[in-house]
Amino acid sequence: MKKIKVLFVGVLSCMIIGGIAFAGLDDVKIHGFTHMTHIKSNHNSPYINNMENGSDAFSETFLNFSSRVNRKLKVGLQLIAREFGDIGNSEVALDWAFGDYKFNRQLGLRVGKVKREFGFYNAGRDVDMLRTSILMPQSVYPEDMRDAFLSYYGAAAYGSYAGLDYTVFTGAPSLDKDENVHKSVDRIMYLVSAKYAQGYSTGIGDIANFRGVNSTLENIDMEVSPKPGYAFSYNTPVDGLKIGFSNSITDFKYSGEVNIDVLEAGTADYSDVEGLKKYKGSYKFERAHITSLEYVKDAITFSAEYVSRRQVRTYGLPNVTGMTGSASEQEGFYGSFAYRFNDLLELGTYYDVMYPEIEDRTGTKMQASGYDKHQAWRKDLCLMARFDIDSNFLIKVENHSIDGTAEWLGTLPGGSKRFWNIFAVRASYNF
Amino acid sequence: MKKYIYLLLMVIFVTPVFAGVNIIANSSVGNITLDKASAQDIFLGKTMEWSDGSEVIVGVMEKGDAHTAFLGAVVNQSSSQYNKYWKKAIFTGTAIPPEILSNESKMIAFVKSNPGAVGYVSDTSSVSGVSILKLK
Repeated sequence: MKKIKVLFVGVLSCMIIGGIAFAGLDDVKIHGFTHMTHIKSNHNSPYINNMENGSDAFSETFLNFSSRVNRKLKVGLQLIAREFGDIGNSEVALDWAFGDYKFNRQLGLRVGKVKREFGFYNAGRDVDMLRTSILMPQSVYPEDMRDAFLSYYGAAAYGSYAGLDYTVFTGAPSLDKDENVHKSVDRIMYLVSAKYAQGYSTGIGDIANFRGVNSTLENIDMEVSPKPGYAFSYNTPVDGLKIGFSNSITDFKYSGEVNIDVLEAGTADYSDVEGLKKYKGSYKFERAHITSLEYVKDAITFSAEYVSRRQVRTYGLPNVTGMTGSASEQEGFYGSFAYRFNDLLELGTYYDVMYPEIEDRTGTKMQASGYDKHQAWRKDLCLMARFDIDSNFLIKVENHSIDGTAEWLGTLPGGSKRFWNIFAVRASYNF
Repeated sequence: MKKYIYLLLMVIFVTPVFAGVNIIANSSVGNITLDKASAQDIFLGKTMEWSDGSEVIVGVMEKGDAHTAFLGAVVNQSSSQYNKYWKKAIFTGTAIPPEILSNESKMIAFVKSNPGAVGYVSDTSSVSGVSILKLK
């Protein structure tokens, strides 16, 4: 699988570089943007360690090259250097790279590493200047799953007919240790493995002793399966009103070595148990639907989206106790409104709601399992301001008033505050 | 009688874009008439070819009254929305952006010198050597 991918990337790179060379450097368009963000919470640190003290470890820089080889074929690639807490480390990686052959208005074909059309805003989620907010509504666009849904290696057919825009694709998400995304997966594994450690501990000790375990999965090997998806949007006869529906599924298996560091005093260090280290799992979204609506008219931008997901996971230490698993039905939705007062100022708000298990919206089961009740939901009221200093430079400020800690803090028991805030300010520049 | 009705309909439904702005094209395009949806597709980068198969090359103004008026009347977008549309296209790789011209004399020169080129200028601009397209 890895060899095929290397070959695929190699051939793709040759095609794109060859295409750009063929087109001539004079015809190559170069664009880029960068942002720096300061983010702070008053309680809880869902993304970045010690976010409660404020952190600047949130920055992204993009540089892209594109060229038209002929009237039907264009090629391009974009590089990214990203830091998001302990993810990325600002190392340069490939964000997207593909060839795009457009037969006509109704049909085009993209092949390569392509941004995933999923909801109205997933493909452009990194493009800061497209929206008012800094953090997107997490119910539909969770940061923890950014890399699983952002792009894929594969092919897409797309086009427009009358008011309908459509994309049908197949591909595997670009979850690859070589591209700085493994740490985001590692964050998932962190939660899963910590949960397992907790379950494992019930047989050998007091569960409370495992609260606060800091377990990571190392030497990860990952197998990602290509899966199909689609996205449709319809520009209605009502001026400015667009509706859409998209589906995207992901499926990957992983294995690695668990490194458990028990932080609480008086507990044993189980990292020397060989069987405990051999960890396997799979992570699958069997269904992930997003229904979207957007209304843009004059100075008003209104959008609302609803997501429904079925998440299935297996995980465990097959050498010791075999595998276990879980399945959950998730849903989330948000409504967002922004008003542009003039060229300089845009103000907006969104209200975002997320339930990681729709049969436990009140947290009864969560509480019965020994977790905080408020881990069963997250409700986020965001107030945001955007200042366009000029067409290239902008500043954003926002505050999130949040009730609940679902997903952001995973399933780690205890220690989170139900009511909390996130404040963020960002400066970005594009050319 | 039919002739007069036809002429009346032409006056009502086929006019220069709208008061204030003209769509101009390279003379290779000819004096064609566009419907609004076709014009939108051209300036949103969705149409790559003219009906004869030649390449569409789009130029847009950087800013100004003609730019704002054109976008509102033809593309149904504000300048800010149009800017976002192309930023998304650029940074997700789905389209190559149009040529940005800083003033009307540069727009006219761009359209005149590039076969298949299309753009717009205010109707007070003196244009020669280009076609003025009509919108129905």
